[in-house]
Amino acid sequence: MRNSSLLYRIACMLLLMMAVVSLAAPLLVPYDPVKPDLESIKESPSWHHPMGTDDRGRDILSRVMMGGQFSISLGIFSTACALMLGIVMGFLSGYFGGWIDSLVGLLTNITLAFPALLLAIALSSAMQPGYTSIFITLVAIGWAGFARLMRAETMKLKNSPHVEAARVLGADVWYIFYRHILPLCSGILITAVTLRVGVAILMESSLSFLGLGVQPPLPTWGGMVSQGRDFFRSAPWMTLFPGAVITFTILALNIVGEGYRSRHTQKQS
Amino acid sequence: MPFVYLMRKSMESMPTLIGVTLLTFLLLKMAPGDPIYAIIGERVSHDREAMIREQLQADQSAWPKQYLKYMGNILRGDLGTSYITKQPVIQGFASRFPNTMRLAGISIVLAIITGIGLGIIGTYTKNAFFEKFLMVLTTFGISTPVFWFGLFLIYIFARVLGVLPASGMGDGEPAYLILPAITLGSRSAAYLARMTRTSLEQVRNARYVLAAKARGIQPYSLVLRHTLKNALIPVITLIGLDFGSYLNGSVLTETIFGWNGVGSYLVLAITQRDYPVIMGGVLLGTVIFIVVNIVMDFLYVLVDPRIELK
Repeated sequence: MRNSSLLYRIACMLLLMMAVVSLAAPLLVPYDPVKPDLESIKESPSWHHPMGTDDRGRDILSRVMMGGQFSISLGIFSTACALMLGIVMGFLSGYFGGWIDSLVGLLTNITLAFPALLLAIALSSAMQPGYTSIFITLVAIGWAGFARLMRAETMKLKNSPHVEAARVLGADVWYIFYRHILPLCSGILITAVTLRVGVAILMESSLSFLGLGVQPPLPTWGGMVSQGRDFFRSAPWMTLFPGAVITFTILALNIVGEGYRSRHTQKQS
Repeated sequence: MPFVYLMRKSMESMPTLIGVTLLTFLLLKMAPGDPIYAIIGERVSHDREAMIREQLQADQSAWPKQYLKYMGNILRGDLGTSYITKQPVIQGFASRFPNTMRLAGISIVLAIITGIGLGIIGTYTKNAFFEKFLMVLTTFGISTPVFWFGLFLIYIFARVLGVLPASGMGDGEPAYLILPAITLGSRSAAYLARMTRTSLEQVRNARYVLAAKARGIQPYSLVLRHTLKNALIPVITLIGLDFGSYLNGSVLTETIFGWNGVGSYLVLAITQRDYPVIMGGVLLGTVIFIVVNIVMDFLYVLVDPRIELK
């Protein structure tokens, strides 16, 4: 346990650093991430440009930092929204059953029946590509998993003695929801959220890779990987560095999520 | 009994099928822009536009009527023709499906062998370093974006070492399959390794396993027949889900490797607003998922005779 918690701490620190750097990116970037600089086209990594420069002479490090703003904030906000939607839908469906359950069940089945990426592509291509379209897409895809989780937990808890007692005492549904059911699901939900943020970031970068995300010249991680593909032979760093940043961000999120899960289950047993 | 089960399952999947098509249909109706300009360009005379609309029967009635008509055509086996290539949609998919099938098949076999293999080794090894190594490896496998991993492999094997082709399908030589299959299968392999391990840990000390051990069963048979077989159900579920999504065309892998499969066809259709192809792809995808699910139910029974098809 000691050893794995070291990894857990490193991952936490990495995430914190990522968040701070991306938030403060406009203040921190060493070069302008959008303006072309014709003096330094496709320079390999060096002291001046630790990740090299792209085909328009822009510093890759600066672009990666700016890109983090979109990727990380989209990952977090879309997951938060999906979580709220999923919790409410899942609770209603598990608590009341009947036609609400059937309807929510059908909607979750349709959402989950499809490869998420294909659904995301279809949804986001039906809108004007940009921050909002990606946000809506990620929420529309992400809520179903939370709803299913919440439904199962609600079904399990709704007949437990403490909920029955509250009901007998005349507590209304919402009180039971946030006071007696939600707190008991928090552990499992936090784990799911951490893992989901990783999935959302992966999805966002995949959509940007396919050209459906935030549009150039603004940098996004997935977009940078895609843009670098054309210069893969002459300037591989254009692709390799942004991709590595995506990988390590998601890696850290997964380690934190797994770590939280194992701590949580240990506490319960 | 299996036949009755099959019929009942098919009936049960009808609402999902109708829901999915209806939702896609409405979504395409609401999408901004008119596909007619994607077909004929924006500089066009009114007469010609009217003529094409007439040909496509585009503005004849309200959407419920259009939807019913579309569903009627499907029942007659007609998925319409592509707006852009004028090729029947069903042909477009039929010609590409074997390519997708080939890639999906190889990838899933690769994933099953490495995934279950690593899972078994991870469970029974007493080497702490190897255990940790496996943990890191699978976490990497889950976290790496497919498109980046694919490009990374191309960089190493096609550019630096120059031993494998970077993209395309050649004339179907196996060499062209290797990199896409590894790219596609790596993620499943990582998930499978974890799932196998978790599942094995749960049954490895079950009483029937200990009893078998006491009877002096060979270790090989002990692991494979007495333990693994009982741990296989969640693993099969995972394999089915992944295989289902591979058959739907792995958009990113096909894009990176220039693989002429269902996935890249569908993405092209989406960017070109080729509505009949999109609808056809969605329908096909849903059917594949339903079929895969039913096949999985039969596999469960094969693995665990206690499960009954009801």
